[in-house]
Amino acid sequence: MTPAEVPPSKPGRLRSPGMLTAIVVLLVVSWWAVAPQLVTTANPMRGRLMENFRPLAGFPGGSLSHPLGTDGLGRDVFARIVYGARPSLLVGGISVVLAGLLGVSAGLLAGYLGRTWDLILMGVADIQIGFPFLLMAITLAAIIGPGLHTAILALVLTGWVPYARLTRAELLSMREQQFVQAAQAAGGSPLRIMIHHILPNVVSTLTVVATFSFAQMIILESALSFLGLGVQPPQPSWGSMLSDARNYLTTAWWTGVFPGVAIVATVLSVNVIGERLREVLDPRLRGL
Amino acid sequence: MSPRYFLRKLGQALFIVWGISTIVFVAIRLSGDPVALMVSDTAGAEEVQALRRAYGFDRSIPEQYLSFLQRVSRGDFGESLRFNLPALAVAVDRLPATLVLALSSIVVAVLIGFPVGILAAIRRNTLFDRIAMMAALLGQSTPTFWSGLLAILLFAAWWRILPASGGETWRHLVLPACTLGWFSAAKVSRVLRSAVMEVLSADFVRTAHAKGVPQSQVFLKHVLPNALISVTAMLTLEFQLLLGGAIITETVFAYPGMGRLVIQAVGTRDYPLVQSIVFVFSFLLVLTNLLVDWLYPWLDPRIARDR
Repeated sequence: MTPAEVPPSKPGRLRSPGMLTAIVVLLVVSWWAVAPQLVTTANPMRGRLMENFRPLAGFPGGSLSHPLGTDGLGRDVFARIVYGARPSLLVGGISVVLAGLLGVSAGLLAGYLGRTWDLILMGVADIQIGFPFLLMAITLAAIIGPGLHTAILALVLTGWVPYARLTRAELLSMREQQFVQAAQAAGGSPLRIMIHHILPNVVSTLTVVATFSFAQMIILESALSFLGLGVQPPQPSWGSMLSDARNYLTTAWWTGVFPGVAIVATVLSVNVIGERLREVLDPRLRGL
Repeated sequence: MSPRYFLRKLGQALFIVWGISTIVFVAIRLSGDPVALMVSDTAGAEEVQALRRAYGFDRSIPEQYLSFLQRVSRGDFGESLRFNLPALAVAVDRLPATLVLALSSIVVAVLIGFPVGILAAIRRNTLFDRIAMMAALLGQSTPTFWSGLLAILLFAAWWRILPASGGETWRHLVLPACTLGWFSAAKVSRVLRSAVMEVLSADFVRTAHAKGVPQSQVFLKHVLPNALISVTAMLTLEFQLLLGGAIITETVFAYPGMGRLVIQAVGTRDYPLVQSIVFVFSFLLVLTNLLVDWLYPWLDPRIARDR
């Protein structure tokens, strides 16, 4: 789309029904992550074997004491979903912040320190093409063992590249612009120019990228836990719940359905907010 | 097209392969005793010593690095602890199954994504466009390991029309390929939609319209070829994501490919096998990248001229 065709963004677009739903979903999930014990009194790690495979409330054999039923060990599915919010949001959040800081710093350095550093940093970024997230996570899991730290490390080590590329590209194009050259002529130090003149211009684009990557990271964390390389049992997580559910899908379909609903609702909400942010903050990114 | 362009891209690919080898080397060194990763827990002290000497871990780090690179270039990753065979051979044995899965997923993604993306672009801002793009956003937010479980639940457990797991016949391929392809169909349709919209507003399309070229001709001869250029790059990226996605999908459907094998290998601490599968995957990614880099000037002559 040519720039002329992009409709002017209206501030009112931030308040759409989709956006409102997304915000409510994320607030609820954050509440689960912060204070799960206020949501449910059931124990997510221990159940009664006598009560295993209870279907959800409303189905024959189900009861309101286990609204979403129980799993093969008699654990309350709803409680496990509530407690599973924490690792998802925590890993996603920490990784986005760390990857963003690492990537932006690398991009600024590559754009400012001159050709040698630029070649080195962008070469490292290129290598990342051949070594994407899952391979990194598998290698790390084989060496340092599976767990949350492995998930975060793999997400940060593979997630910094887009931030670096974006920051560097913006920096290179901005260096030629008058307001930067004026700041240089006025005697501004490189650090001052980066922080006061260049970063503010990249922030909105970075915010959009970070929002989408947060959504991506929630999926990747649950994928790792699904593969058994992330959150370890008996700690509840959405991915490992689905992995357990695979073994008794025919007897207890609810164990395989609701954790997935939680993942999709969360990720979709983040993506919806990302789409709106993109429309409002940065029309240039449209269609990417 | 100058041969220099091809050589430069080849050099870049070799550089990436070297970089990956180095990352793996550093990772092994950082882990402490690499021999401990290579042997089973029951191995005796003598066996460990023998391995340490055989792999040269008693020598200096630079020496070790060089011999590591030599072994990698020969494709020698040691023996798989579980299969007692050369690890690379075990990995390559499972490669065709994974490639078949990734390629059929791409076909599914194209079959769904192309018509939807093109129609959405032509009928921009209609109900169809909105529903399609909403479905695409939903598709991109749904992890394959969940849509895979739902597919098993519906088609294998309840309706019993397709097998839930295994990989013996083409029927075993249908669910994994559709699960994986469905996920990328979402992105394919979104990218194609914006690519077509961008070309539709280009000057040469307006000119073609103005000089009276029929609608269908404008679309087939001018709009589509140009839109497909940007989609090609995206499809490569998508193929690479699908290779990664195969690791998850193969695990969901117990499909006997490299991806399921690597997860099992991590579980059994079969480190040489993990290492060789990671290498084979990386190598494939770099290779597809190189092929597209080489094809690109032919698709879009501007590239070779610009660089």
